[in-house]
Amino acid sequence: MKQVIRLALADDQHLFRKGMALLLRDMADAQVVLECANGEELLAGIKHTPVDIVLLDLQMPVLDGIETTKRIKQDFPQVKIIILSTHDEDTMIAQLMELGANGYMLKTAEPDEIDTAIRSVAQSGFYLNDAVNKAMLHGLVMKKQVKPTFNEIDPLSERELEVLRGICQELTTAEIAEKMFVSPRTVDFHRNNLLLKTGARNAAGLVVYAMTKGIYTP
Amino acid sequence: MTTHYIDLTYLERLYKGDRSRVDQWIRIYLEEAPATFKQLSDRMEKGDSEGLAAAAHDLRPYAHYLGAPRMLDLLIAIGQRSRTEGAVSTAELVQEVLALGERANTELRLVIAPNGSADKPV
Repeated sequence: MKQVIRLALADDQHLFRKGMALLLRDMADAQVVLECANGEELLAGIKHTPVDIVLLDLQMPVLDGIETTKRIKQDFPQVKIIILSTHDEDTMIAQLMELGANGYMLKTAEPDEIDTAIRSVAQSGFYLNDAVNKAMLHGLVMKKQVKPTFNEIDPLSERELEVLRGICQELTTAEIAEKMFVSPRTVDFHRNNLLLKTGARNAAGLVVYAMTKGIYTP
Repeated sequence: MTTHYIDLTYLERLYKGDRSRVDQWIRIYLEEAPATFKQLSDRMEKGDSEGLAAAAHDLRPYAHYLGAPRMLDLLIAIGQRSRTEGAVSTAELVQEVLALGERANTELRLVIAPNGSADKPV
């Protein structure tokens, strides 16, 4: 049986939360299990109501989206975050992705993109749209602000590079495994090695690494 | 010919043409919009430049959902001018947004009226 994606919505604007809940109501394999008006409510709620993905606003009272992202990554690292914001500045997008957000979308995104983003984050751990690609390239390549934690000493093996390219192409673990004629567990093993060697914290960080190193070009 | 201040094409696409959900969204909007728009005038009158810019920013997605480009332009202008020239300098812009908001509400009430309107802005 297909597993249901458990979603949380955190936005201080009641209308936006309700509108989003209405939209997600007919998404067959996803269910909104938690609605919160700020980051503090969200963190308290996650303790009792497990969620897979949080759709998180940035501008909220009590605890804003930036602080909430930091706290979720620290206290609930398994929870994935898609930022839904009205802020389209490159610096803001890059900052949130650096903090560990798994995707970033504007509230005015095309309707289908929301569905795509949720499925992509659930399956491959990240969702990169043009805005995020642009912000990352702008922040990390144009300004030469390459993350200093990337480990340059231990080079990536051919197999690890294959897995990395697969991740960049938004392939699932199963799809990468099939392509490489190995088991999903082997792919997970290579993925863990990639995280260790690059210093990235999640799949989005791996994509940043691949892009900045010229291993992958979107 | 009636001038329409809103175009609900985006909402229709958002809810995949499901009229009942579009109507639900409109009903929630009509309940909450007056208080949200009032924040604009309150913050402008208090001279709260940052608060006004933030309120205008928060309203931008709704202008997009309502298909109200003039309202969206005004909200962007209010945010910018409030931060550079102060909240009070935006008085005319805020008044125009409030007037547009009222007109939009009138059209939205027609859209969800039991018998609808022959001249719906959809």
